[in-house]
Amino acid sequence: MSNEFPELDNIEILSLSDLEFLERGEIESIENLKGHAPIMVVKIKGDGEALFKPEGVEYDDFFTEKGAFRGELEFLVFLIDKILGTDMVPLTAKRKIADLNGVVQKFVSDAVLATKLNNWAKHASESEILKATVVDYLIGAKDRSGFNFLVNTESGKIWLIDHDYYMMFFDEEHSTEDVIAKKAKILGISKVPEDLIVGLSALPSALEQLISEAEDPRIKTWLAEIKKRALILLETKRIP
Amino acid sequence: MTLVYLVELYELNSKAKQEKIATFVMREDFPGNVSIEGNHDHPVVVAIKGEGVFDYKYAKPNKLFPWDGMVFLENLKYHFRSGYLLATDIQKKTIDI
Repeated sequence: MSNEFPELDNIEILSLSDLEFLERGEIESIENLKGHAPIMVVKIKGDGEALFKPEGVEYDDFFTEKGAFRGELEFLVFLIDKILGTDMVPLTAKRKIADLNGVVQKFVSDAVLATKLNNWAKHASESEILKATVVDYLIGAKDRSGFNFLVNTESGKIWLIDHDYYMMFFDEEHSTEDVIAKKAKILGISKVPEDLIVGLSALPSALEQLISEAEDPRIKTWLAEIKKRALILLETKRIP
Repeated sequence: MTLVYLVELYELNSKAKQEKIATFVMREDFPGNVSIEGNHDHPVVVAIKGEGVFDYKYAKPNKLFPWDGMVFLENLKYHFRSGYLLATDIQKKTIDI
């Protein structure tokens, strides 16, 4: 007899989107990672692993306030990526785990850090390099190195990670050159892809809403700068 | 007896399990040199030695390398903070030489 009546668990699995899994899927295990920054690997039933970065956990930092932005910025960059339709940031959700509020981000298991590849750009597709450059330009990434993006060597897909205080607010004068933007320049690709125009057009009004909801003035200013850059891209259709 | 300062660097493998890549060690009596214990051919170690790490703590534009000693050690935890790569804080240990 065919399996006409699937298990209840399977029905639940089928009815949840990937994002819903992240937001409220059953947590099977939690493991604190060894290291300075507090990060946990959480295993979500039916959805694999995710990285949880708790907010409000004080840890020895030279300016602990920076730690407080970790989850907020990570989540906002995910939202911006979603509005744009670039799909460069792993699924991210706000969630309370082990009595701690924070953000949980899907662990990317099928890609490797760019720094681990011999010439990462040979493995990444040109369209992904261009999309990543658009995202980094918009968010004003100041610390994009081979240590904080991943490349799937089979599909050429890029994943951007690590959107925290250092990435967004580090002193402009001392910021590092964005290695993805540098590669885009070398390849001579700067035209905003047509398929991003719709998302880009939706961004300014979405940002207005995010600005009105943001509590911290630095985040409000950062979002306002993203809006300005979005308008520049809409007008010129090119990354400056 | 000699005091050493050390930082461990971990990476997540494809199953989200941590594996130690290297330990960065500085002896108190040789403050200008950080030695690296681990696989020197690991691409992350190669990148650290070749490209250096950013000076987050003191916000100076120059990159830091193992020969910069303590300031290099201090910055590893800020540089490697994503979870995919994660460095410990500086630990102190006394060893017999």
